[in-house]
Amino acid sequence: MLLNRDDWYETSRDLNWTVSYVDPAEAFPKTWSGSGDIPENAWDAWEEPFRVSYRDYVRIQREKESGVAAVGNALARAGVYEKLDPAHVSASHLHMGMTCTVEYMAVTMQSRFCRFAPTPKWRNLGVFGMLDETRHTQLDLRFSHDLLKQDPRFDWAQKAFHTNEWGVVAVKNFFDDVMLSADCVEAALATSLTVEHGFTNIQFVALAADAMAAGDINWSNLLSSIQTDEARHAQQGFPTLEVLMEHDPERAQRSLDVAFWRSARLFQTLTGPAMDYYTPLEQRKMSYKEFMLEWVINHHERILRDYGLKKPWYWDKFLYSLDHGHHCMHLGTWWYRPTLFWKPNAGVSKDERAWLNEKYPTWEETWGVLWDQIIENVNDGRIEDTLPQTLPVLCALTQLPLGSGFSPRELGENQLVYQGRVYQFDSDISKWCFELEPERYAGHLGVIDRFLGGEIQPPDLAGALAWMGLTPEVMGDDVYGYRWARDYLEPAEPAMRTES
Amino acid sequence: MFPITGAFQGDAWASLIAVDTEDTIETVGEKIAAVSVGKRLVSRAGGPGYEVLLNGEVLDPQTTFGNLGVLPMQWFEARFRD
Repeated sequence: MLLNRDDWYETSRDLNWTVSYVDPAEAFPKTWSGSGDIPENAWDAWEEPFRVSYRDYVRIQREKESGVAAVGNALARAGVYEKLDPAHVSASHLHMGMTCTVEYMAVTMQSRFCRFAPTPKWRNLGVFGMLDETRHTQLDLRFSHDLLKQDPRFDWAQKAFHTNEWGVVAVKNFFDDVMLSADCVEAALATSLTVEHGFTNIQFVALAADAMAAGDINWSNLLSSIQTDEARHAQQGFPTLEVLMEHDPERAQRSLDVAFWRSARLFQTLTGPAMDYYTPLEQRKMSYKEFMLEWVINHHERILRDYGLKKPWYWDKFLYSLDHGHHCMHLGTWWYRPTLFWKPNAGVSKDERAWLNEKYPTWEETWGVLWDQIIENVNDGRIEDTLPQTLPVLCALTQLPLGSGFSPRELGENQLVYQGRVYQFDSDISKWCFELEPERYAGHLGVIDRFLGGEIQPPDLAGALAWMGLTPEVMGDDVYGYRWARDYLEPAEPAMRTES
Repeated sequence: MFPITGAFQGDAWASLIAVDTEDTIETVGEKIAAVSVGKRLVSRAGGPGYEVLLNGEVLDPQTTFGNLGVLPMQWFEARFRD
């Protein structure tokens, strides 16, 4: 008689051996395990909130794969992609370029759990996470490859992380740090618990809903399929946090507070513009802020409360940034559109503007006034005055423009001189993160450092675009060719009727 | 060329501004304004120019930039002169 899963599950999951030919400290170095001063037997309490066997895993994943492939094939035959709104398509370019390689980086992170996590339970579960992330990478690549014939921008699913495109550098900088370089414990807190359990909801649930409404069933289906895996393996963060709260709660608080802010800034860039500006107006489900409040902030507050953690000291500032950060990132990315590999939608026609004002009551006085000047320049034919003339200065922590976390009212100095060099930050929060571990962040050479170091030649916009790998066929421009600005042209005076 | 971080009050982000050590502060203000005013901020035609602030203090417009002795990428703010 076959045993039931529960009869053998723990024996299988806990399979381990006592190393005798090598020092255990060498086999599981603390720099990789992240166990720090936590006693070895403390990890016996690590219990995952879900149970899965390899047999179950393969069966379920096979069904998911079949579903995604069937939908994709059917829609390709129906020519659905060709009917999509171009602004929505831009969101999929942005997503594929910015996340495909992050999925691949996550394979490495999960592999580290398999090899170095401080308990065999976690090491065994890491195998499923590793397989999940491999699937996600392959899904993105397959989706993008199928659409290459429609648009060369889908090539950036694979290419982006091999370029110096500034947005990609910001994303890569974060995930290099919390996925590829972090020990298992920190990776579980920053990536599993913060990014995967919290923020991926905004990209994979909210954006999936918008994509479905926009008629992009294939992409929506892909996002939803990925999220079912994320929701499972993200839970590796909970037992890790539980052990840490028992033995080193200060570290838990610090790691989560840093990871939450860095994630928030990143998703203001990745998801905020796509939801509030690229998704066609009539197909928007909720605003970015509404989704954040429902899907991310409620989750995070519950985690903090359940595990006895405090809200980050910057919580009120973070909530305030929900009204501004992504609007600034949107204005900035649109302004720097030649430096993008997708075509941004300005998203400020009169109807869209009414929606923005309804969702964000201070939008008009804060962002509308800046767009008014841009609109005037567009309608007067001064497109050159709506294009970059220099580079924005980037934050030494987030690699995003100074000022882009808040409104123009908060654009102010957050500067630090460290070892003889000036470091600029987008906020006192990012500066605080940096000062916790300056040696961790100080060595990074950002886009501006490389520009000043002579790596970008010629030292002008054309040189910067070439350095970023942007070629004419993918270089960003206004997705509607500025047609939205005509909303603001004064109606022509009616011709005077002459009596005959 | 000397790189500074320039932010014009009311604008959304700070920009990389290349100044010359021989520039006066008046010129530095104009260089910071050039990437913001008339681009995202409404210009004030025939206005009295711009003030430049360092560490919150308004600088003398006739001071030569090189005499300030600042590090590369130092934060400077500019604003319309009232």
